[in-house]
Amino acid sequence: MLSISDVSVRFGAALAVERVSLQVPQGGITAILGPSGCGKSSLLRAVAGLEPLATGSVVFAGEDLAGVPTHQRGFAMMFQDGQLFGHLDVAGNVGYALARKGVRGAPVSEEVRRLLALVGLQGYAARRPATLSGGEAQRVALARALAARPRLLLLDEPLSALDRSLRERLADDLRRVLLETGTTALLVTHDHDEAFAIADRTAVMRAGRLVQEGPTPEVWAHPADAQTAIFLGYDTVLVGPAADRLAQWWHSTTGRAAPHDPAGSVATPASTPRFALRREALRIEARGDLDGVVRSTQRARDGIRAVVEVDGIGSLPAVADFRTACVPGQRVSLRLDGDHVVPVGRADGSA
Amino acid sequence: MTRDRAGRIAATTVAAILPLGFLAVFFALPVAGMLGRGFTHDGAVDLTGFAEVLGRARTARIIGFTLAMSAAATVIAVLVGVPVAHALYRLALPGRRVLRAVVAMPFVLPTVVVGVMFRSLLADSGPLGWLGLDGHWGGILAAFVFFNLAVVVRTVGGAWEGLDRRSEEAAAALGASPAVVFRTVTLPALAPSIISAASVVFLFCATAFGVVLTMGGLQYGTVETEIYLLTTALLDLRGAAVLSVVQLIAVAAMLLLADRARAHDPATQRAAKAALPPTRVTAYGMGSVTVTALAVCFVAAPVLALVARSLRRQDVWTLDNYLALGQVGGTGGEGAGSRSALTVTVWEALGTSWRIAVDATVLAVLLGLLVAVLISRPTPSTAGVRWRSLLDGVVMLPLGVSAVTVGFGFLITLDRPPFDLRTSPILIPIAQAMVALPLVVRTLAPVLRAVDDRQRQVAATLGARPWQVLLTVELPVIWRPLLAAVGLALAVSLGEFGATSFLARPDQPTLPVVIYRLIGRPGADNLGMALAASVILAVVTVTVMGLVERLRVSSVGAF
Repeated sequence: MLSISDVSVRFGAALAVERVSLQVPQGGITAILGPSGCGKSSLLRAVAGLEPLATGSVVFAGEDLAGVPTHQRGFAMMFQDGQLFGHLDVAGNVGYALARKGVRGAPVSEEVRRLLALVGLQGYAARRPATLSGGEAQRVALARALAARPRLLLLDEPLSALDRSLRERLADDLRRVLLETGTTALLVTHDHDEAFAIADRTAVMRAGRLVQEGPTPEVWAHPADAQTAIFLGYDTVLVGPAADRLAQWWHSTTGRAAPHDPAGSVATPASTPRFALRREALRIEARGDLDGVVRSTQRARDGIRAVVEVDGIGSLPAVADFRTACVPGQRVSLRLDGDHVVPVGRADGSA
Repeated sequence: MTRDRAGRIAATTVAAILPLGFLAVFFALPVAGMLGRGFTHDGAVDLTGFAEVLGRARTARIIGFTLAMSAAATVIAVLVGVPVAHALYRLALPGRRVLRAVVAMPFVLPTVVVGVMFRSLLADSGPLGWLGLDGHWGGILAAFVFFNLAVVVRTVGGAWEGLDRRSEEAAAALGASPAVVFRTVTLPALAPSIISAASVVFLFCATAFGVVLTMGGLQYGTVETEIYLLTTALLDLRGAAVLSVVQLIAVAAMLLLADRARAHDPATQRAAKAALPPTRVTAYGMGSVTVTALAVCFVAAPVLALVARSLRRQDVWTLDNYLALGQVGGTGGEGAGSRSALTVTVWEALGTSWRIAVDATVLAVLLGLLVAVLISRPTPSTAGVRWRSLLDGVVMLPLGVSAVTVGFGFLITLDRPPFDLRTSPILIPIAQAMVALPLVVRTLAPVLRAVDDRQRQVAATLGARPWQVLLTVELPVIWRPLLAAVGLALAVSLGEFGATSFLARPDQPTLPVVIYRLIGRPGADNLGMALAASVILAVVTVTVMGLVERLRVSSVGAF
């Protein structure tokens, strides 16, 4: 198990990482999710021993890694753009770590073949890196990292350089390969879909600090604060009277209390964020629960995206299918889908 | 501080001490010794020499002439070199690789050979004798441009080749004419490389020795030849020291300027970038093509004149000049006077040159590699950055400091323990290595800098030890530039004249020294031999560089 405690990384006067503590359990995949510049890559590089720690410690399996150089840590790293060695062919790249251990000959080619099959690149052994597509290069980089049999695999934005469809496909493969090989992995990404698709646990970082950490579904179900909710892909965060109105509405339509309402019965400041909504939470239908006036519409691949001025709540995004009449200025009815509404704030009620 | 970091710092320190120590003993010490002689009188520091020497009318004239000639040569080299760089690096000109090699050739021609070349072209009996430029400053200027055109073409061409064409296309799409695109987009992007090249050209011109000595005679002198004259003929060490200091300050300022320009140059990483495919030659490119044609003629003319004249004796075509190379002095039976011109045959001298150059090359490449690795490793701390740029600058100093000062400094400081090397044959290779060192570093450093640091990091995370990283990540990238640097150092050492002329032992002269001796002797036979020997020396250096060219390393000879 990797244990990061109280780690800070300093670049000149600026603190890139500020007193972050995080546990990465053995055998799982942990994602560090955050916007670019939040310090997540610096934290990853600190774990690899590529950046010196300003404070704190990195401990793996009970051993403090201070003073252990990168090449002795047994943490293979996979970079955003692969960083394949251009002067070696694919087999040479994949077999690199074995060659460093002095392994030669048949065992190497056997292992290379096995790993290339694992990442779906049978027959690529003799190819030059320059002839590979971006996705293929990343697969080779993954095989190369796995060949080192790392105690921990560090992945720095492994899919970010790829286009969307390829990214989704490779995310599935990445998770499958990591699970099959039982590799403990720490993944850094700015893409919440990527984290959601790959990681068992997710840690959210912002401005050098760790904001939230937990099993991936839970992080999504309980964003710690409004900014985290927006970053995780929620479209709106409701506060004050609007949130009251939503809770009421929820109760009247479902007959149940709203999902854990952090405001509870205790009086909370009106500015405390309480609910995060995805666009899909409100659907324009003929017979809905609440009414509003359409402000604007936009056509998307899977339907119409509208902004609706909802009575008593304010401007909210909503969706409609193409059959539904929906033009700006029109008065419409909205149905609430509880699956796309989550409470904001920690479970203990503090925001 | 971690174990790892401590180890790294220790390794870095050791690696830095070697080249710095070498430079301290074989560069700083001789230069300081030379200056010390000039500025101490009866054990007391005496700086009155400055006012006295600088007040001399002759000094003012010499400095003025040096600056004027260097500035003029720099301006011409840039004005000609930029269009040539455009034609040879940006346009799909047929045979441009060969043309590039032709234009680059003078850079490695030994100074003495260039002097002999221009004299054979401009002499009254030469093809351009009617110009009356023999012994005229115009001839020296032409030789300066001849020499340094390659620096501009290679430096600017290298930058131009890697320049992203899309910003030019964007400007054109916004309605800018080709001339406006060049002025508003291309030229600003090339400015750092042009400034860098111009400052190096100025430096080379201002410290040129062999060319001026062979072409200027007694009438024209630059600071460098004046130092030589004051030191060897007039024994005015004080005057020589003053001029050395003036030169040193000017050179340091120039290097600083060049470094500044480079620091702002985004194309420092250019070695990694693939060269863009050249564009079709359009009407707008014809200007560059025309200039290139003229430049190639300009470069080829002295070479052809040299070769032609080396094959003639008393107005008949003959190989006599070459046959004489196997003998000492003029051809058979001309009396003792002409025999005494040489103590060894030209072939023996070539052998000596070669052996010395090999030693110098080994030394220069080993040290240069060490320096290049050091200054190209990214470093997180600002202190580290400062140390590295200091090392970078210090290593460049021999580029511009008078070879005469170094050579003479060797003689006066390395003659007693702990460095009693005066009679040691190792002095000449050391002096030549010093001259070649900056060029080696300039060839290797850009390539190493272009290695993405994450390549080293990924290797480390895969379990490679630091020396394994060097071997598996850097060596595969560096071996071609390394070979190129070997060739460059070899060519430069073979032709080195300034420092060698002081250090070469009379019984074992190098080929450039022999050539200089020959042209200093009266008689058509001696001149003929000088011409033939120059051709031989040129053939050797150009062959070496031709092999280097085949490696296609763009940082060779670029600054």
